[in-house]
Amino acid sequence: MLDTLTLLRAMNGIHEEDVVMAGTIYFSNKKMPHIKTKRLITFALAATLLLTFGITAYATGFFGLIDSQMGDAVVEYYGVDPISGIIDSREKMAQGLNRVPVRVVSLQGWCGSPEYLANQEWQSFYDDYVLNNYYGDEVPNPGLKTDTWYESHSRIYPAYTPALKEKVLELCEKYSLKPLDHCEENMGADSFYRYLGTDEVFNTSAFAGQEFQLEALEYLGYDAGTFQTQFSFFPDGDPYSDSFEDLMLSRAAKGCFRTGYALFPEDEELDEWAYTNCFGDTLCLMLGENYGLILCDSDYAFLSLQVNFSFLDNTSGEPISHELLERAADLVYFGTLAQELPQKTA
Amino acid sequence: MEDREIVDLYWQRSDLAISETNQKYGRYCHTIAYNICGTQEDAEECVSDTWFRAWNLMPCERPPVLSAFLGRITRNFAINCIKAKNRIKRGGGEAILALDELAECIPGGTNPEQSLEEKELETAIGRFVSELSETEREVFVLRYWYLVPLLDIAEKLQFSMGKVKSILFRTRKKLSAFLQEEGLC
Repeated sequence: MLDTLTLLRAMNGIHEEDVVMAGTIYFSNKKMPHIKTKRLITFALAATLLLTFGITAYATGFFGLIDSQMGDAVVEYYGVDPISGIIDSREKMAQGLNRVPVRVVSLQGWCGSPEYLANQEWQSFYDDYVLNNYYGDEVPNPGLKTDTWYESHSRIYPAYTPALKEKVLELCEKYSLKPLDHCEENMGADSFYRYLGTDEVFNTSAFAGQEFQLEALEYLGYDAGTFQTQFSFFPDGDPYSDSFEDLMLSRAAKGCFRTGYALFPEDEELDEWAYTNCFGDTLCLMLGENYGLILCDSDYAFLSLQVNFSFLDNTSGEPISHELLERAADLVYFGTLAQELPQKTA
Repeated sequence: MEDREIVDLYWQRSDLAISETNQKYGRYCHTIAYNICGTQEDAEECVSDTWFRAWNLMPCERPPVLSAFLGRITRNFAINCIKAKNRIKRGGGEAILALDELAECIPGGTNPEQSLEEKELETAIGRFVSELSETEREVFVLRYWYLVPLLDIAEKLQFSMGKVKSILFRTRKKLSAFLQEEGLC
């Protein structure tokens, strides 16, 4: 029988070129970005959409991309071409080709809701602030050492200067939203269920194999049941398979201010359709070539499930099918999460 | 100094061989040793032992990639160090964590007194890792060859911790299946 120390020592059998390649990454003074992005965002389009299409959406009863898109952006990436997955950015950077126009989609609520408007205004402010070099504000800011708010909110909001902190509080007041003040970060489904106060989250009974990798589930849990969690899904039930999808499930409790968004390539045709999952939950599904998004709205929360949640980092390399996205929609008890969670009120 | 020139110094039995090696690879070997041993003192001792061993191996050996050659020597000394000092239970840098993780790859418990064809296992590991995807290979080698802490891997590769853990979890599952197929455990 084999022991772990022998196995560790046997790693010496790893080929030299692989050792050297990894060593180059580790001992480089620079971080080796697989994905590094810079975003330029404008919201003129979103405003037009609101005026032109908002009424139509309410009239038809279907809420989709039109109702969730906050604006357009250009993402500048370094490292990996988001389409081909090939590391060739140096040449493309030299030619100025390492940019991808994207649609920025709300994960807090439909267009016109206070949660949507607050996040839209936040993203607009934040991008302008960063692109203009923080308008001279010092970064890192001395306030980080003296004001405990920054440390306690470091995993909640990307607010690391007084201007950003003030903007968070200003938006909360403007849109009558509560700021998030608590965050717990942990790993494993059992911890996650304890945080939520329910274990009715994942539809594991519908799948006979090992589709979920819930032991490695990570979550950030905030006030009022606002959370985001990441885990892997193996569609063919084989946890050794190279075919897997990374998923991010998020819940934005109504009445709270939460930042965050999803991205779709702008030049990609998206399919969107209404889908009723196996529990009778009515959902909005949006599908690009390598990325899918499922949205669900209720009086208590806005839910989102991102499949292969960064199109800029497509680890599986496989296009996502309609069937797969609908299977993903059957994975989650959206109805449970859409309700008021036990002891989780805003 | 180029690796070829440093190796020539060893072959010439030059006094400069060790100093040039230390200048170019001292930090490299120390980091590898420290990640495994967990203490500066033991790491420094491993590095010193590495230079001594390299001096004895060259001439005879003329390694094409000096960093990998030296790194492997350092790894072995560091693993021997934690084994000898019974550091496994008391905490030896990242090694204790890595060993716990690798235990998943070995079904049915362990037997420290077992005898095994280590060379065959090394060859199989090399083959296994070379067949991984580029991303999985980078993460796996950083974790189980260099014993880099998970947070450092995440920062270097600009991944989330969850992604790093997820990749390692999948790869260990693959390794477990691979070792069983090969009849190595």
